[in-house]
Amino acid sequence: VQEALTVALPRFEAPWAYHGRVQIASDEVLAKRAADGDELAFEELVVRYQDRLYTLALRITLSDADAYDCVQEGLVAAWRGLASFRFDARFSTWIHRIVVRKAYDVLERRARTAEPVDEVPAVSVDSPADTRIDLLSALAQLEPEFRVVAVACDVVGLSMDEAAAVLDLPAGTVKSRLHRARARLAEALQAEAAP
Amino acid sequence: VTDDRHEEIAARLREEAAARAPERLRADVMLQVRAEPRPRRIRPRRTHWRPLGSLAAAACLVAAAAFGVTQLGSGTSGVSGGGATRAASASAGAGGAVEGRAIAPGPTLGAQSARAPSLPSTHKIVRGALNDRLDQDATYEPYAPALLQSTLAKRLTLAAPLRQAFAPLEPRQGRGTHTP
Repeated sequence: VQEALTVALPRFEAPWAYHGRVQIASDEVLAKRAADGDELAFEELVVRYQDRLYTLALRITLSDADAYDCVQEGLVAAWRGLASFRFDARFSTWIHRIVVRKAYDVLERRARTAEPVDEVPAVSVDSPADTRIDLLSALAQLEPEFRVVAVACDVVGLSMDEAAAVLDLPAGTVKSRLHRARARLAEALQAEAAP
Repeated sequence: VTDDRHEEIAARLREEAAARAPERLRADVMLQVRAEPRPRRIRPRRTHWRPLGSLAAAACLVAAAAFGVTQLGSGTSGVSGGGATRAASASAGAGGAVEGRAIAPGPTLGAQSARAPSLPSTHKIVRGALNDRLDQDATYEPYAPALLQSTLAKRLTLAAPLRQAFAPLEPRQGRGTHTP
């Protein structure tokens, strides 16, 4: 009986002990807190989304520096625009859309000024280097409208509907472009594999 | 290209094309964010009171219109009675001189009065008001514009059926015929 009485109870932490610490919360909860000026909540959103946004921008622009700028400007623009965000769309869709627009701006600027892209597409995951380079170079050779859809759906992992909302395209167009992008990638990889 | 090949391509893209953001990206973003002014969320307006407000405004308008219609009959009879009394006494005191100068209703008003049964009461308003004016100023040349006459005639045309409809609500109506 004495031993049972001396067992330490789970420590109770007062509510104010959690002050300033971001608990596990949905994107929308964090976005609302960020919209009220909570920088820690916004930092949590940055941590959650920075890799996906950077991947998206990198595979669209094919440039490390441009992707970095797109994501940085996009996140700062999101911080400024959170006050007027009405939460009638998902935060995820909204933030991806901002970065995709920044990436499109880069592509348009390049088309206007014939700016060359002299940077190698980034390789930052652990997988056999030769096959990865093949796939990435085949992806880079796709036309932008097909590449964007393949990156949004297959690389970033957005659903068809969410990709349609992010890219401002009908869902049917996204589906057909994704099908054609995969087919072209398969053909390109098959051609490279053949002697 | 088969569906299996498509799935294989999708899986390879998911595994191999993902990139990690540079380490300094988060710090750079938060540096800029902290330099920005803190946003204040614009909360959406509460819209569930709006239909209730318009409904209340419409109800007020209907109530005001009904009140105005009920007051129309009693108000006109009271004023017209007073005006007629005053006009009669004035005409009697002036020996009929003022009576001759009192304005007769115009042709439009006369035509309307033939159709509307309650025309004399408002007619008395006009005549009473004009005669009151004549009491004050013997040299006054009264003139009723045609627009005023037509407006009054229209009002009478609209008011007569309404007065008949609201006659049971009229407190002064039928006072003389009431028998206990």
